[in-house]
Amino acid sequence: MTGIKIIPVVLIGLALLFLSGCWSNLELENRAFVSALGIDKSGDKLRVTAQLLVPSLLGGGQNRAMGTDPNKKNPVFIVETEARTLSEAVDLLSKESGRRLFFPFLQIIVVGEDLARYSILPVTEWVQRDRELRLKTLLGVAVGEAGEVIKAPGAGLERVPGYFLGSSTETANNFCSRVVEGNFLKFIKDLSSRSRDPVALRLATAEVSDQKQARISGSAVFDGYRLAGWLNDRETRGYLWITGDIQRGIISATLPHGESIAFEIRGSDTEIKTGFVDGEPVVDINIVMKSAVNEVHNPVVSLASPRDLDRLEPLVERQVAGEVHAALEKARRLNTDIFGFGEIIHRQHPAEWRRIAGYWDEIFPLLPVQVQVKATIRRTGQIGSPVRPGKPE
Amino acid sequence: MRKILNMILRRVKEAESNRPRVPEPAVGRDKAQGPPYLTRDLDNNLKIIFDIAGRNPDLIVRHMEINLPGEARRCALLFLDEMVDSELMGSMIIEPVLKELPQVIKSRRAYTSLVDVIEKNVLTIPGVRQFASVSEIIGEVLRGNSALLLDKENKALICANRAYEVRSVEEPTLETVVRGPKEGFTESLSTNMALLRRKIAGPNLRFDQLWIGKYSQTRVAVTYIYGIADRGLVEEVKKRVSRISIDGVLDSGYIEQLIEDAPYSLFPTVGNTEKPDVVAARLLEGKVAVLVDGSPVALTVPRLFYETIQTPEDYYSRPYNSSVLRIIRLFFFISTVVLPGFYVAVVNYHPELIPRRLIITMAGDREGVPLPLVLEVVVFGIIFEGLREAGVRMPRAVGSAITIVGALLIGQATVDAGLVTSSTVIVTAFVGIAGFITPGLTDIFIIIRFFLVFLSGVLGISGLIMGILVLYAHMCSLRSFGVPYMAPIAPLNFSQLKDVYIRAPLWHLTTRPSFIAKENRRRMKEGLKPEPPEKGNNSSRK
Repeated sequence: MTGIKIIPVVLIGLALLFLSGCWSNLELENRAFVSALGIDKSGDKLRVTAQLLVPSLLGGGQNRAMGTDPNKKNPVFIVETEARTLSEAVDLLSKESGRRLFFPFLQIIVVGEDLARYSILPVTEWVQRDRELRLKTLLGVAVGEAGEVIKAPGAGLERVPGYFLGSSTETANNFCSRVVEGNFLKFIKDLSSRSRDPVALRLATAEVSDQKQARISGSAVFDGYRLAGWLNDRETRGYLWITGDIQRGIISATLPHGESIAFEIRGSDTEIKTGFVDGEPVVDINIVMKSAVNEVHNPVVSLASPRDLDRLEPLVERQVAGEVHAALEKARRLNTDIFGFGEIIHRQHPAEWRRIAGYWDEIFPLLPVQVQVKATIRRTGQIGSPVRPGKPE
Repeated sequence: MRKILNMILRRVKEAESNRPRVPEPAVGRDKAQGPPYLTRDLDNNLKIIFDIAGRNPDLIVRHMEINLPGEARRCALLFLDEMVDSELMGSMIIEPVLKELPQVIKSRRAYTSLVDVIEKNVLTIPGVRQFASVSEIIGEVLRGNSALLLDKENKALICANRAYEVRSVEEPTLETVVRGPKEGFTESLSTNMALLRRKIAGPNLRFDQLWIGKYSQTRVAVTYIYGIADRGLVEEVKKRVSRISIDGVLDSGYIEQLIEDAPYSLFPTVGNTEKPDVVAARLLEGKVAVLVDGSPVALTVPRLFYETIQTPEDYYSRPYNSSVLRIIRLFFFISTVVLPGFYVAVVNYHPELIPRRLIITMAGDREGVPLPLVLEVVVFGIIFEGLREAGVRMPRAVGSAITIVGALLIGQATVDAGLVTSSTVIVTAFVGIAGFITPGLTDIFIIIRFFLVFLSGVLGISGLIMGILVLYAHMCSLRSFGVPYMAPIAPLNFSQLKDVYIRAPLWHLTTRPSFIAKENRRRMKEGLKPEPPEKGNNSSRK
């Protein structure tokens, strides 16, 4: 008796499983992986250039064995669409590529200079609102057209140009300290802060081994949603010194007799103190760093005792202070508080900040900043003093 | 599921009951057949026996005459061809009866019963008993003993000279160990009991013998250690085993399927092993074993889930490696069940979970593969199971050929031809190999795997998790002879976990598992941890 009832119930259950379809089930071969996206202003429309992966040119196994030399053929496919809004343009991309776009592996979104100078609001809005986009995606501003950067076929040691930009940023962040973090998370955090102005990556194209290749050089400074100007490599490092984001890297300095010497940064700590003198804000930047001698171009320099190393410390300190001042100078000229000094004053002196907050734009370009660098040199690499020629000259 | 099965079974039963009944054949034990006891006439006795046992060519009668004073007493030796030790029979039965007996009788004037004299003064064979019941005599003869029947006597002498071809004690094929005893049970119950006796020589090892099978008359021994095993458990096992009324028991698997707690469940609730040391260890934990004549596989109850990730070697080698291996076994057990489903769910629903470089390679592989991923996994899984089955069934000589064809053609060629992605091959191969790590559950993996793949293909990760929850809830609901299947994990008994995921040092395992052994729980003296002599309270030096 129960059996008569049970069978239909089971059948209905099975039918439910099959007829309801498979929500968001999509085979891998029906997805288009986006590696980089360029967004330009074109009249009053937005032009989107997408760099899509061609998996059959990238995959392992049988595809690699089929005889196509992977280095000969570009493993990406470039599509362009235009629309009034970004989401519509991205929607149109699916039509052009024949597959559903898939964004979680998107490395970088490049904004054209024109659009950046106008406003990058559509980009941040879309990135934050869309479910598939990650805030860890990098944000870059192209010198000129973003489309050109996306189309550049050079990919360094990677096979996909977009992924080269991602790995280049990551490596530069960790081992060379000449590139800002540059992801949307940081950008949006700075953007929404009361006084801090955001910074993005600056991208340009160059000819690298007979191919046009996009590369990161310096950073782009924003004033709210609008591009205000650029920082070059040296200024970018100055910016990193102030924000305390320096990791590893080399500093070249000059010895008293004019020869070059290189130091390696082995960790640093930045402390920013603010105060008020006669009711006017002042900022003290204290940088404490450890370094090691990496290369000496003068054979008579002695590195035998700790005192010898102490004598080299001012060389590093002067070099770092110079980088910091360069960044400060550029920021003052662009009148953008990319370092977040306002925020620090707000935190350290909330009462006074309320008084000056309204005039911060006028105060910042003239803000007196004291830079103090204390460097210690502890190591000299595998040898002490440079080897001197045994034969008298 | 169970309801449907029940319904089908009921239908089948109804159909059977409508069929005309076939009269059952006569059986030796049937009380209605012939007189129950021997008469004093040899010819009549033989006739009775042959009426019941049939005139089979292997049932041999050796007619003899004993020269007693004043008469030549006829007697007959009844035995089965090739089931007795004929040399023993000649020297210890026939020779004494024909040569010694006349002299013994001559030397003593009076005797009460000739049968008594033969048993006590003449026969030199060790095992001799007197029987009067026809059915018992037939039973003993059919089991391979010889029966000596005398004219004018209503009792027969049963001589235990059973000897038949038995496989020698070998290393079991399934449960192999590197360290530890390597002997395995054989098909002979007597050998198996002896093997167990050699492990546990104390007087408390008990074998309660039962006869199961209307026609097969199979000897079944319910084995336990008196004083450790719970009395209730022993009684329950005996009750369940003796309830069985079946025509024949050809392997312990018959008993297993007729005494288990959850006959509809995928999970086995009766353990089995081919190793005497494993049975001994379980008996010492308080479990009960069932040995069946003709089967080299002993059953042990209760069987708990964690036995799956245990091996005898865990206890024979030092605890660190054993503990790590147990965790690895658990990991492989989980992966062999879950991985195909997880693979389908992640690739089809959540490709963002896969590392970037890997997903590109996988996407490249997927180009031009004809089947959707779910079907690919299912079809390839079935192919793998088929190859495995072929590997078990095929003759040894062609084994390597099939392996090469299976591994090379099915694996490499299908990938090269673009019929299947290499990642699917890797997943299937890994899952297949991982399944062998827990041999106790290998036969249920394929069903669970496909169940989870199906759910994952339809509902993604949420489907997979639903499936796992259903499975786990089911496992927690099972019981094996009154003990929760997942004990001591669910219900959680923290102190008992010392021998589940890890194997604590031997000197720490001083008590038997509390959920098996109820009363006699101490297994080892407290404080046996080896220590330097000056620190220990009474060292060997004293």
